[in-house]
Amino acid sequence: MEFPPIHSFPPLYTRQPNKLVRNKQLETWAGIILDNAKKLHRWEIDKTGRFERGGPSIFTSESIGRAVPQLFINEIWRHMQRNNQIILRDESLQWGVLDDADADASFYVLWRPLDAWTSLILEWFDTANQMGKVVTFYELAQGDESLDCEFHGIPEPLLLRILKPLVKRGRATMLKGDNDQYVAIKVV
Amino acid sequence: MGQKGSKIEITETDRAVLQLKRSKDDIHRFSRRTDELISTEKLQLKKLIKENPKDYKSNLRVRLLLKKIHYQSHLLQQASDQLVNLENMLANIEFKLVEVQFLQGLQRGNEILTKLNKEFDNVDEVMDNVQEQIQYQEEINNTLSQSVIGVDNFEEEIDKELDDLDKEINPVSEIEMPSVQNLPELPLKNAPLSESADNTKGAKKEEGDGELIALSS
Repeated sequence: MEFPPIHSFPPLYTRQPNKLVRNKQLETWAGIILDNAKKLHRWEIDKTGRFERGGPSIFTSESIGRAVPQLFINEIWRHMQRNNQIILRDESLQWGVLDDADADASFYVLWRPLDAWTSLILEWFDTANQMGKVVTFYELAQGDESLDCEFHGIPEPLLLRILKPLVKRGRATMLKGDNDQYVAIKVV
Repeated sequence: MGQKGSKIEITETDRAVLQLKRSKDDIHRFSRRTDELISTEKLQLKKLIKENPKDYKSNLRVRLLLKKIHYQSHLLQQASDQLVNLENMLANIEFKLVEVQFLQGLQRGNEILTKLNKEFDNVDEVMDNVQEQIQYQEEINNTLSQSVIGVDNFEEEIDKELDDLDKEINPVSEIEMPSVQNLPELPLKNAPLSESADNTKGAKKEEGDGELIALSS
């Protein structure tokens, strides 16, 4: 992970009492998370700030020996949720899960808002001449066709949520596979 | 689009394409996994050889690992061949679909063309009708112009009046023209004649002489 100099600034790790300053602080954290997710092409982060299990937490600085307490981390998550920068990975969960210290929760990091991803993929369908053709989610996320695209490597459940609005708008239909799960989409 | 109930149809072709693409994805996934497996096994192999620099050739694990690597690469080769096959097939299907659309377009165009041509069936009748109407219109025009003015040869009268006006405005050119044309034809015999003509119109004498000289020289 790469951090801006402010990541080594000790006050960033303490919840600021002044509301104005705190808002700035929350925004700074959101920016650090989004930048890293985009650069490292990471789509998921757990509630302790780890992009991968066992990896370092983004809320910990080894160089100054500081870490953000979980309570304030949760505030950062809620701030990002309000700005549509993260969504809960498990759709059946509620945001209240953050209050449960023992519960596990992880999020999809959206360095673009959901609807921006939707239009980006719609644009790809158009430019890649895939309109009216059946395209599997695997192809979209992992296939050689999308190698250079920003959405390459996207987790399929997130992809499904990005594509759903297209079905609602009547622009697309999804096709089910043998396991009765949606596996492909046809955009017209 | 956008309306409720206008669902996008999923055709048999779509289903077939989906199945093909699913197999393609599976093979793609398999090759990626095998690729990773081979590289980790290669790393392992190198590690083993480093650990047993003396007797690695007789080490069973080393031999097994190398065999496995060979086998996996063989599978990978097969998988990529199959992948190419599937991709070719998909491309063929896509092209066929385009061709079908092309054919449908041609058919529809043809239908419309025949339909439009049918509308031209009574074209002769229409043209006759139009001709008749034009003639009738001309008749009406003639009748109207005559009856309104009340004079039959009004056009001739107009011509005459215009001629008179012209004479009034340009008396010179009318007189000048015949003298210039006649002179060169009978240069000697007409000399007295032209003199008498000059006498009657003295004002024009000089100009007439000038032209005579120019023509004879």
